[in-house]
Amino acid sequence: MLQFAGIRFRDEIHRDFFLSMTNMLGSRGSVYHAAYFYLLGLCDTTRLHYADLYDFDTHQIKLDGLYGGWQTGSTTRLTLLAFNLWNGWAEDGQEIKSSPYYLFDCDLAPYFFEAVRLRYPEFCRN
Amino acid sequence: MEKGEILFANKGHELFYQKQTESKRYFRHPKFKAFFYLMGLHKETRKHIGELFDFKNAAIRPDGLYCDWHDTESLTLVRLGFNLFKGWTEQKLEFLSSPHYLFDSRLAPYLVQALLLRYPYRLNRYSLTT
Repeated sequence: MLQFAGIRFRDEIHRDFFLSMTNMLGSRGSVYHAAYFYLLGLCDTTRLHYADLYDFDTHQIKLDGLYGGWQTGSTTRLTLLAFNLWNGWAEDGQEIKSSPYYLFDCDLAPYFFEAVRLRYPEFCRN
Repeated sequence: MEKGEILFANKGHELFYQKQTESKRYFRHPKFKAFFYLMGLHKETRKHIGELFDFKNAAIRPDGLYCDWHDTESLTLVRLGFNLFKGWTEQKLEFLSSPHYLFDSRLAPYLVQALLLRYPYRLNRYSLTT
C-alpha cells in the first residue's frame, strides 16, 4: 500500500493512473470522478479498458462496460462499486450484488474504503 | 486512535457492543460483531434490539425495519446490519442497501468500522486513520 497526498494507493501505477485521469479532467473533476477513477485504476484490466467505462465526450459513465468480455470477478465488483458511487446505479434485478455484503468481501476491500472516503470526504474526515 | 482500536460514538455504544459480544461465545463471530456494533450506535436500536434480533435463534428480524420508532439514521444502521449479517436486502428496495445510499451520511466512519469488524481477514492492514 502506497500513501500519497493522504490517499492510500495500491502501488505507483495506481497512483499515476489516478493523477493522470484527474489532471486530464482538470476543473471538471469532482469527488464523483475522484472515486470513479481511483477504482478504475486498481487493476491492469480496468486501467486498460477505462475508455469502455467512461465517455470522455459526454462525461458520463458507460454502463455497457460492465458486460465487456474482459471483465473478471474482481473487476466486475469494482465496476459495480464505481457505478454505484457515481449515481447510485445498481443492475436491474441484481441489486444485491451492489450491497456491501457482496462488494466488500474481497481482497480489494481496503481500496474500496478509500474510494468511499474520496466520494464522501465531508463525512470521512479523520 | 490506534490501529486495531474500535471507533465508538460514545460510552453507551461501547458498553452495548461489549455486553452483547461477550454474552455468548459465538457472538464473537464477525457477523455478530458487526451487527451489534451497528445496533449499538443509536439509542433507539439499542432500546429495541429485541425487535431487530431474535436472541433465541440468533437470527435477524427483518420485520424490525418497519417499526414506527425508526428515524433515517436508525434505518441506515439496520439496513447495513441486516445486509452484513447474511446479505439481506429489502425486496424491491434493494438499492437502499447500496453504498451510494448508505455512506452518504455522517455515520459513514462508523459504517466503515462495521465493515472492518465484518471482514477482518480482508482488512487487517487497514486502519480508519491515514
